[in-house]
Amino acid sequence: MRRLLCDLADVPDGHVKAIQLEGLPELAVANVEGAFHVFEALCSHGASSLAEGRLLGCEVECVLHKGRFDVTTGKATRRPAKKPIAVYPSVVEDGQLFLESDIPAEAVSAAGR
Amino acid sequence: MTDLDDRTLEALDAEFAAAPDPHRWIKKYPELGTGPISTDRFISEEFFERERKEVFAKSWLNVGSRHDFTGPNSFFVRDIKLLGVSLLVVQDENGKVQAFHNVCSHRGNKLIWEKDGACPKLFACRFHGWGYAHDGELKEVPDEEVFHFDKKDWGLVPVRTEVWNGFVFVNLDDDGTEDLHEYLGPLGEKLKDFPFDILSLFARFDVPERANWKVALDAQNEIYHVPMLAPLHRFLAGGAFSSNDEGYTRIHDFERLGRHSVYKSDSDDDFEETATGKVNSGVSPSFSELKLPLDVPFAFHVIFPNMVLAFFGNQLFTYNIWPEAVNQTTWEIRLHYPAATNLAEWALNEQAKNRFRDLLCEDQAGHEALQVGLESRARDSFVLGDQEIQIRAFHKNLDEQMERAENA
Repeated sequence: MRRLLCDLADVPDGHVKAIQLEGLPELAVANVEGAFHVFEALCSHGASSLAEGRLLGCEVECVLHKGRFDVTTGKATRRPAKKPIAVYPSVVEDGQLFLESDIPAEAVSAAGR
Repeated sequence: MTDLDDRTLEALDAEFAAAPDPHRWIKKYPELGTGPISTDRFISEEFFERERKEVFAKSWLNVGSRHDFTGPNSFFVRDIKLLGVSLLVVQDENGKVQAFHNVCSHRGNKLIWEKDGACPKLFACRFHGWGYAHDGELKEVPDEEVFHFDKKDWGLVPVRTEVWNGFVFVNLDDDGTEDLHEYLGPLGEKLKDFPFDILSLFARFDVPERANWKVALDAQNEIYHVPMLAPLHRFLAGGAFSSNDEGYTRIHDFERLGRHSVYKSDSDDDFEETATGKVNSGVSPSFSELKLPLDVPFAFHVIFPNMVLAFFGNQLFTYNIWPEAVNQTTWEIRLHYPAATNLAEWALNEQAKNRFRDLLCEDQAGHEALQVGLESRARDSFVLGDQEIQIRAFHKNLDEQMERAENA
């Protein structure tokens, strides 16, 4: 079953929004020039939500230590962040963003934690 | 085996991999202790005076290198504000280097005012025209017959001077008996065959800082700050400053070498060369190859008290961190690179210089901010982690030198 994340209008271009769904870690949605990317919000480096960070191109920057991640792949792109964050597949339908019904186990574990 | 270490690289790597102990270095050197360091050391006029009198006035000090001479038969002038001296450092036509007090024997005028140049026939005083030969001998006294002296007693006053691997050291303690070889001890031995001669001085920056000299040295004496301080630091971090899975830097080795020390750092296994780095190595692959016999890309030596000699890939950078007042310092930076043989190689050196300069600008802002915090006396001490072990070693060496001098 797909799960509703948000209305597309809730996440303007260049912004990040926090989403909490039951049974899942806090998620974040980033709008990169009209493309929406869903990822685990908790920074892989420190106890800080990436949903509070700024988006620079396709990279989200953590407010705590300024580490960065590519939201399209989850890869850490700037120190001190080193481990990746999990990214989740999503689909757009009728102006809304949904988490894919089946989140592959490897996607969830991609954070390596 | 490398020229820098007696252990094999494999043994070092195995040691590093097998020991993720967060207190690794203090266990190797328990005498360094784990306690806090006092704020007073950085802001006290009294402590600063002890450093001047017991450390700088009694240690071998690096005042430059052969690169500071314009050629054979040339000189440079080195003012050491802290000690209230000006030195005239002369290299004769045979390469022998000798420093003198840059003071005319007649009335005490500062003899040479230029910063460097080819030796004139005589070093002539501007005041009354007394002239000295390159070996300091007084040769020319205008209207000599009105004086009552023997000229040979009134040459320039020499200062103990020795050269190690092209680096010129002086010692202003007339009563000192330790020569430079003894002073450098195991550090001098480790680097004695290092091919310094393949490197040329490419750039020098003299950076005035409103900070205690040890603030500047301590800040450079660890790599804990590298992933955190500022954008260029983060960007370049993985190339020479390896980190654990959490992104925290881990030094590869640390050794006390008499009163000196060295820490080393390796690159990250997953480091991807930057786009610029890839372009650079493509421009001149042979020039970009590692030419220095280094086992890891970064090795940071502190030559007590105020010289840093550090290797960073093919680059040698030196710092001479000169205290001028308790909260005023000149951070003298020299960058040495393999000599360029064509325009492309020169451009690579120029690019490396500018990148490093910008990186150090990030550090400089930090040094001055540290001094502001220390002078506030918000805390009377602060703490150091195991990765900051070389800072502990330096302060221990400083204390030991002052105790030695005060008990002598």
